[in-house]
Amino acid sequence: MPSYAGMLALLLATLPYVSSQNEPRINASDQEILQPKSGQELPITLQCNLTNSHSTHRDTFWMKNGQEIANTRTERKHTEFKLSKPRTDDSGEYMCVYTFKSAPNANASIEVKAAPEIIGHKRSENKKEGENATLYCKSVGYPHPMWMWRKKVGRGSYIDIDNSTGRFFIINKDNFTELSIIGLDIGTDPGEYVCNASNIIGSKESMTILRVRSHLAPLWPFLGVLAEIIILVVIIVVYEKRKRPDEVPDDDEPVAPVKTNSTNNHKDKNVRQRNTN
Amino acid sequence: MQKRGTKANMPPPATTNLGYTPPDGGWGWAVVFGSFISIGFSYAFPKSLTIYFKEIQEYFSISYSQIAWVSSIMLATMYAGGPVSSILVNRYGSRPVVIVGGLMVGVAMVTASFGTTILHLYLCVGVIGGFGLAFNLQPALTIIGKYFLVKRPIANGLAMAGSPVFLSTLAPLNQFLFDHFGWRGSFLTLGGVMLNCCVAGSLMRPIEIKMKLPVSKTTDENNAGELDVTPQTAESKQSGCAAKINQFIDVSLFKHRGFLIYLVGNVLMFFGFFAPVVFLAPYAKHQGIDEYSAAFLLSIFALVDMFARPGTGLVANTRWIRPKIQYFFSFAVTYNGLCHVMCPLLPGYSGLVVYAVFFGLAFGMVCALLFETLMDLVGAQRFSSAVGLATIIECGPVLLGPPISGLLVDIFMDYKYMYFACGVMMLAGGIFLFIMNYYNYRWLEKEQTQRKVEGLEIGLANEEDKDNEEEIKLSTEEEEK
Repeated sequence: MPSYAGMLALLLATLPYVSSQNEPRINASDQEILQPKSGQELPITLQCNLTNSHSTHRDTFWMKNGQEIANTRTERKHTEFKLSKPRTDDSGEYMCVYTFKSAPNANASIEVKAAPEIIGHKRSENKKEGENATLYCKSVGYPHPMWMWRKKVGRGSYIDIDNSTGRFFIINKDNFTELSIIGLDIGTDPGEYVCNASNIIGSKESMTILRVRSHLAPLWPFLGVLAEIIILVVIIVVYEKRKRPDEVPDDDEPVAPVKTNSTNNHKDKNVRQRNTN
Repeated sequence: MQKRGTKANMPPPATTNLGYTPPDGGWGWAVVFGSFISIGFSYAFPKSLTIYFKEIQEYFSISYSQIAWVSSIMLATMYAGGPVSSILVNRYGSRPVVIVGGLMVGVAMVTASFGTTILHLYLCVGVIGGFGLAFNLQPALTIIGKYFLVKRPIANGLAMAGSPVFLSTLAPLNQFLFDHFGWRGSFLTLGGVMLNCCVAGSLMRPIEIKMKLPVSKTTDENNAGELDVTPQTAESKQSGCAAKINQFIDVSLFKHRGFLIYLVGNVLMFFGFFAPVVFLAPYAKHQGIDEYSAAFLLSIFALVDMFARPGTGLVANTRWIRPKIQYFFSFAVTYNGLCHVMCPLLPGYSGLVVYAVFFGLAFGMVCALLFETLMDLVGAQRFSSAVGLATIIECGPVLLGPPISGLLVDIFMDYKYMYFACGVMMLAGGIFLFIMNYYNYRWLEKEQTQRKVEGLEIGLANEEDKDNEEEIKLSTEEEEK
């Protein structure tokens, strides 16, 4: 006679098989890695196939990064999502979702990875000393990158940002990073700041120039221009005063109306009688 | 040779009631350089300020149209201040007015750099700066007419070339100042830079007219002199209340046929004149061209313009064109209109480059001749009043043109209708000028031959009198014999 223990063991052994019979099975294509820069933008197709379902299947749709993609709902068990010219911002986590009449949704996820690209940053930031400056960088790419801020010194060499004065604040979010500097110091703060985004596929960086103006900076060019103008005016006035006594009256100087006021003869006379320059 | 040359070079009569021979050289070239600076600043400065708009807009938290008012107010005041400028030039001469104008702009910019509201900018940069530039523009043009006659078109062409040269220089300079000093610091420095107008003004030495009467050589000259003085005094006698206004500014110009033709033609033309420049870069971007190439189009345009102006002056000075310079101007305006009409038909970026080259040429031609033709029509003596009256009337189409064109673009969502409209306006102006100037030349020739005939008749009458006298003498002698 079989023991209760034996029957229990048998039951337990078959339990996974039974439960897996009830779980839907989805065949999903592998993860993709985008190489948009190399110029060969080969189209990519993500596929999902529902091979085994216990409950009646309702419909299927796709999601990207947790949000449903419009116009992807079908009632088929085999579904495809095509990226014809994939770019970096097409990367992310895609999910094909199957809904059932009386069972919870089932899904499979396919990761489309790409090296980060920096899409938003300021080329230059100009502030007065003592003010606050904010530098930022935005990126696309998946997985979300790790951010790092550095400062460029010399050619191609970087140093980490020195926060001994406690004026630097960095905020990192998924696709966004921000470097805030309060109380700008004209001696140490100006320079080229580089934000670096890197994920498992690759990395990218971009540069922002920070310029700090002193309070009195614009005064010097103003005074310089003023000096130039005064010098020029003095030269011109002196030249004129010195020329006047020597001036020969006849050449430039006109004569009261000659012959006619109709111009035909006017010029003739003058050209013949007087030497005009 | 000299006779033929001088005759053909003759501007039509009533152009030189100056009473003296302009030197046509010597210090005149220094004056041209001064005018070059003044005109350059006047036209280029309002346009180059747009670089600061974005930061000022953010600083004061206002909309783009509110900040764009600064430029519009400046341009409007510059044009509307024309008559005021003319009155002052008529009274005091060019030099003091330009120096005062330069000081006004300088002080205005320095004050604006400390401004705390947008209203301060409207007042300082817009109103005071605009008047200062008006006090630069009119006198600079007027004094060219006083120093040049034979070589006047060249002088005008060279002086007007200041506008594209200064625009090409001020734009990168403003960008540099903005990067290094922000808008306040830039305004301060620009205030200093604009004081260079005072330098230009100090170059504009007034011509001294020594009123020493010549020893009249023959009685003929005396008689003829008297005869010709009478038409002059007849002209200068005005009746009624117009006399009072005429002390300040010559309002009798509105009865001058040539001036009226010029005015109507120019008003038509200015509706379509500036808009194509303003919309060249946006049109290029609309067609999918990137920002840098679109900006490059404007550089090509400015470069061609820079050389077209003195070149046109040289061409206009030749003995074939100078007598009929009004036709040359009408041709330039019509050519402009043709360029605009053809622009939408040219495909792609290379088409736009071709358009930029031809348009630069056309724009330069019109600008170089714009004031030369006015001088040619009314004469250097009345020019300062004429240009003041002309600019205040042209103020309307100049300011309304670009917004109306923008409206056309917005309504049709396409730039080609705007280009067609501008082209048509300029063609209309050009054809009007052609036809009216044809008649004007004919009427002027008739008047000239009439005057000659009158002169001859009176001369003959004098001779007859003398002959009669001699006859009487002879006959009395004979009788006595």
